[in-house]
Amino acid sequence: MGQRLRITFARGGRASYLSHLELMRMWERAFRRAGWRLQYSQGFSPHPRLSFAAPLPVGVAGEAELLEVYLEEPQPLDRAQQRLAQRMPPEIEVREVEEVPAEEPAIQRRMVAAEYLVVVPEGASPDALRTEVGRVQAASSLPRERIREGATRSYDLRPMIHSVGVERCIDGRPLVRMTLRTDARGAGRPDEVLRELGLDPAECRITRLRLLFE
Amino acid sequence: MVDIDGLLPRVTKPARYTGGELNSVRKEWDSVSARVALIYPDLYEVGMSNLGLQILYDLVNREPDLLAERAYAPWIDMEALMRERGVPLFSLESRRPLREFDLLGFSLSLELTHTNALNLLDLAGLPVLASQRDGHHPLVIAGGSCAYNPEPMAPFFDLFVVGDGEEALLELMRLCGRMKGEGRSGGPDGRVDRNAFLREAAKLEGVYVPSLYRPSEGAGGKPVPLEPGVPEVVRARRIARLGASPLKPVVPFMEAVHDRAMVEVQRGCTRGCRFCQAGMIYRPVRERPAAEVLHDIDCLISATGYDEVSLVSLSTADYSGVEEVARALAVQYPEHRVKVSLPSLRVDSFSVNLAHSLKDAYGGGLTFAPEAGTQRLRDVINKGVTQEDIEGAVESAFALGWSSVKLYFMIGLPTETEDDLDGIARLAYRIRDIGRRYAGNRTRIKVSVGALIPKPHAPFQWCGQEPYGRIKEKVARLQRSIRGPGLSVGWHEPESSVLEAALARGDRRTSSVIYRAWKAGCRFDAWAEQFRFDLWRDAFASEGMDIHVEAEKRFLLEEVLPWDHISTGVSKRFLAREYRRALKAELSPDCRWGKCLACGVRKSYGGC
Repeated sequence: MGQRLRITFARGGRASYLSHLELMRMWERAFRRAGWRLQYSQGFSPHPRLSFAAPLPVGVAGEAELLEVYLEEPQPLDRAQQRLAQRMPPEIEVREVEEVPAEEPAIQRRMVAAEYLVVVPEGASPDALRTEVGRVQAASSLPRERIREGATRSYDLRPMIHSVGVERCIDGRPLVRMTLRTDARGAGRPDEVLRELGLDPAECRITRLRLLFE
Repeated sequence: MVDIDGLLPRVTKPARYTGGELNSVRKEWDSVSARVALIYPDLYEVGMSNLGLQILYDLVNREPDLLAERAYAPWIDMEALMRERGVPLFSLESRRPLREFDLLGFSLSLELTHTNALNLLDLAGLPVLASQRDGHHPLVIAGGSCAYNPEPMAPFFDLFVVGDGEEALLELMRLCGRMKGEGRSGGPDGRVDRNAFLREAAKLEGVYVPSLYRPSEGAGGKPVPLEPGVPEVVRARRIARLGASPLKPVVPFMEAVHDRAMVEVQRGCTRGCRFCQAGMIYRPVRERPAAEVLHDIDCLISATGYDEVSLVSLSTADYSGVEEVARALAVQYPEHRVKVSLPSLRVDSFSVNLAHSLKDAYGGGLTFAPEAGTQRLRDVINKGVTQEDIEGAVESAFALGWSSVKLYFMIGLPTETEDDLDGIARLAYRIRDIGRRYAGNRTRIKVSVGALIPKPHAPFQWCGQEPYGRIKEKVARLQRSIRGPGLSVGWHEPESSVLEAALARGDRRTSSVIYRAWKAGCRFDAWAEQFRFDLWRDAFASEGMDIHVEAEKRFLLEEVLPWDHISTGVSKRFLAREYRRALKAELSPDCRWGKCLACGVRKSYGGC
């Protein structure tokens, strides 16, 4: 009994600034608005069975994000998407709802990478950016430090970068496209790559285009 | 439109500033005749929990020719960025600077948000003093419980709406729209002529326009009208019948303080607790039919996706439809799929059984407010709760599976003695004994203590707050006398309760203190990490006042009070009678079940 659904959704504009937790609560409410009853985990504090392929960082838009959910009662697929899409906040869009066999491994375990597109700030020189990208590509390691909960952690950014490149410009603003490792061992952060390229991530517009699976 | 994309990645919790929530309303700016920004002068997550503003937002936006948007106080980090980059305060929906609106409507429900209100005017690019604003600026108005003593904030606002805001706000917006249409504009941007507008507005019931009054000089006394046609006493506005709840309220992305659907089931309370301002200023009691409440809950759940709804009122157990609503909800949402919360639990077993039927018995503890430790003192405050009520309530709670009970008490009440304090301890031990019979060693009794803050329009308005040093001694005494397994005493009231008391019963002179405190950097006074008692003390001193003296000041019964030009319908004579009865520990019954006590509301509003 029950049903496992995979939902493809996009977020942009104002909704890009939601934290992972806020986005999760938004979806729980969206399912209740649709009248769907979620399965709950067992245990002392049961929570709804709801999982994302990979959390989106705050400030990053997403074109094709994935979410899986387990329902108590199966929903007819042809109506499910419409029902869900009816009452969504303006800048979160349901793109697809499909059924997934229960035995398929969890999406977050099958993820290998994610592709990002970044609009860099006006005034950034494309040539200088190309030089920086060339340096990153050629480097064998890129030691960086991250402060997390007060503790500084050193790590190597280079193995997290599968590819990075500068593309044609839009309105004089160069685009950076990158594919970053995103798997059980960790996720490459687009803002860290931008910092390595000498850009201020707060001035960039970052979109996660797609998630890549094995 | 203000560009904040460069700011959002640099601040904590950007969802406070983004807007774009489900059910937020974006109207075509030029399609309406009048526009209001509804403002709560605290953080987004606090302001979004305010039912009053939700009601007004819904009402205004249901009118095709009117528009309402929202704004809240940005946190320190966002404010710094906004000031650094010259970004003015903006509305969440259209991100327009607030100064482009016709009206800025503030909700003033807590004295500790006053400096935020001034700060928001400044962030919006407006002079904070009404006398320095002109035809280029929006009209700045305020409502909420602090409007019942408007003097401390009077110089900053063009007008106050005293009482229920539903009808008055629409009338003010229509008036504004009409005067703009008639071309009676004073400013270059097609704004209304301020003075003409304010004169018209002053004729509306419940509207107080400070600039049309001469403030009393020095301490005491009340403002006097400057011209004919301006009412000497402003009577609070009352709506005869409560309208439907906002059925499509804005659903915040980030967690609000009250993160649930809200349905107001009744307004007003007649229990007559003598310390309680709300119990006096929202009379008469107006109930909503149970069928309407159930219909609203149903709509709300499907429009929001909340899994919890709060039945809002000052005393929901007194609402005559409460059992019908509880029964129907149990059938409609089995297995507590929708939790129902009661914001205030009466101290009796009826209320406990009600709470039990509405939500999962083991979720959290139950809170009761006996308010005082002895029967004598409970009679002084007219709590109307007996020892048997208290024991019955907690026994029911433990029997139904709760093991944790929180008890709320007030200290610094008139006539309070050491025996009354020891009574709190005796009660705590007694309740622990009852609990142990059911919950054994899991029994937890949390005693929570707060100081009385005398407020205008309540029978204790003439009392002073107990000196802060004495309050601390009393708390220490309680902490010494209430200890042992399963017992704890909580006192979370910092010196801000002294400030609240000093501001609440202030007069026109208090406004200079508030202005100084804001200039000195005070804001977010309700937030312990931002509260600066030293700056406030200095601000009072600079105006020749002492913050402690102001908090502790007593008024004489025959004295003119700074809020005597505001009428709640409850007569001063009734309040004085209640105050005298308090000092003799005489109870006054709830007129809802017994005879009329002639509080004045029936006479004033032609019914109750």
